[in-house]
Amino acid sequence: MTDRFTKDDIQHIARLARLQLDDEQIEQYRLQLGAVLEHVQMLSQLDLDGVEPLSHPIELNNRLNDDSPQASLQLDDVLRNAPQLEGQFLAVPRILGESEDA
Amino acid sequence: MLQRTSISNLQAALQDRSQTAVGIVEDSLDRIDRIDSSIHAFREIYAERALSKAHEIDRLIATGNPIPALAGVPVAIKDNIVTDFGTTTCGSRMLEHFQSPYRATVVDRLEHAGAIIIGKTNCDEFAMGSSTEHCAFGPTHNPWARNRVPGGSSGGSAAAIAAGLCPISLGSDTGGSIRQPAAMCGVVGVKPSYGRVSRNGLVAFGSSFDQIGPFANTVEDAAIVLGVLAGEDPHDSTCASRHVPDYLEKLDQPVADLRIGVPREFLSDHNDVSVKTAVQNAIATYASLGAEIVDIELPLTAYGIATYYVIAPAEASSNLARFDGVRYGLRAELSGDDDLFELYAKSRSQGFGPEVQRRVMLGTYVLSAGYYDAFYARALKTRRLIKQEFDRAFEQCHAIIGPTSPFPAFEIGATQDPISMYQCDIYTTNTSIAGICGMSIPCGFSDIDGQRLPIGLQVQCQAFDEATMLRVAKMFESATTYHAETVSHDGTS
Repeated sequence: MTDRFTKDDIQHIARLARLQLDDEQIEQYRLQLGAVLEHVQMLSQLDLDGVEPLSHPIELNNRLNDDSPQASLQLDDVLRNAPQLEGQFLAVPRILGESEDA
Repeated sequence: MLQRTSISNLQAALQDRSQTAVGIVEDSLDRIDRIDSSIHAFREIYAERALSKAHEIDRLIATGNPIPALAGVPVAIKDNIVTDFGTTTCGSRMLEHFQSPYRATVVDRLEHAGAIIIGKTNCDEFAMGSSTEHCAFGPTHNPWARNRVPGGSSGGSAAAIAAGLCPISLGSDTGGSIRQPAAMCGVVGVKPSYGRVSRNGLVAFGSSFDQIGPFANTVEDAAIVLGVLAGEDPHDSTCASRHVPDYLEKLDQPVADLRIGVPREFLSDHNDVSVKTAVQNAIATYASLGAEIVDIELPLTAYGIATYYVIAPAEASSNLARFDGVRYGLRAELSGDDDLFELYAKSRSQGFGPEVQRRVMLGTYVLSAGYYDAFYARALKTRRLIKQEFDRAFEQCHAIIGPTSPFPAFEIGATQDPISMYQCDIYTTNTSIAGICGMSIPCGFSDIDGQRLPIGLQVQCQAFDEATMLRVAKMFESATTYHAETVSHDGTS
């Protein structure tokens, strides 16, 4: 069905996902995500009462490595990928301020 | 021509000095140079580094020391596995210039075994796709039919083998991304069990599914490479500490004492008729080899896509949150009063292509307040049922066979609708959901419009029973000739 999501729904999801969409994208994703969820809806046919969720296919226990110092990555190698630096710091726009998103 | 030569032949040629590692690598680079412009399997080539590493191998051989398992073997790496040389882009504008400060464990293991990394192969963006069309840097073409897709998301790695550009490549498989392109390109592709191979240095997509595995011309070559890749890694706590058996030891044992399960759901009418015929022939081949064919049921097969397309996007939306335009990757141009939110949203919208945006939004939605129980929790419960269904099936049989993909390679641009593309994975997602191992081997051809399109047979075994899976695959390969049929390159091969 194409009416599962409204335009506002998609804008809300995009905001949660930190994406900025134009009207054409919103309409396209509205239809496509609606179609995917329509298919996913088939899971409600199954009787899942009393079934424990399985988040990992194989039982894994926490593994502890020896508490011994290891060489870490070279700072220059790591920072060469940064889009904007100030000295050895990553530069970002103002975080504290008037904006309600801050 | 060396490109279709097995690893053991290459080793013998190096040993008796009839070949040098430099010669092998030059041959591979030369073929890439001549052929890859029409396939676009590779995104980046490391010619100079590869030749220098080959010289090192030749010097080692000259000393008379024992030569390592993959000495001089040219290997291509999927572009979502990091190397501390060149770039690793994941087929995305987001990481177009990304230079990893470290290398993946698998890259380290390959090089310790003497393998020569020759380049990175094209893939769907962040490994999300089944056709290697959803890439920021253009699609890969199927070597068998250039107007068709190679499958995906590891399409470049599969195409590189099919075109004879190199004998080994690595891919990653989250819901079928090694097995499905292996099927569509007519090569061997192995998805190991969850936890068998370290993912340290694999850019994460769906962390409870992702596995790295090899593509090869033959089952034996895949077994040799898996032996090099597999095993515990202190850098990946999800990598199992279980013993790695010698995958060659039982490879040639006959299958006469094995029970091979055929799920009736895998022989559905949704399959292309050529696929159905090829798989039925394969079942007959196993029966003629003396294996007992067991009729089994996996009724939850039909629920795999729905389960997968909740859990994998949920994990992806979380994993891809790291691409924020701050520490690495694309940062959008900002205007004067843009704040941190705009930095994130603009950078991610410009950096991610449509399929990645779609899955990130899907994952965000199924994890969001009010929908978590209806979708995510429900999918995780279904996941347990799917795993239990496999557990019961493996009480009846040692291995499960069926088609890898319901149809052969489709034309580039043919599937616009996401749901129909997701259906490519109907036989492969449940393997990943249950964490068991699966592989694809060539089992026939579909002749469509004068084109010869490969068909793949999927072999699945219990978690960590790769040895039996490889043995079952090897017996089919020994009894058939599909793997030996190669692409012709119009005077270049």
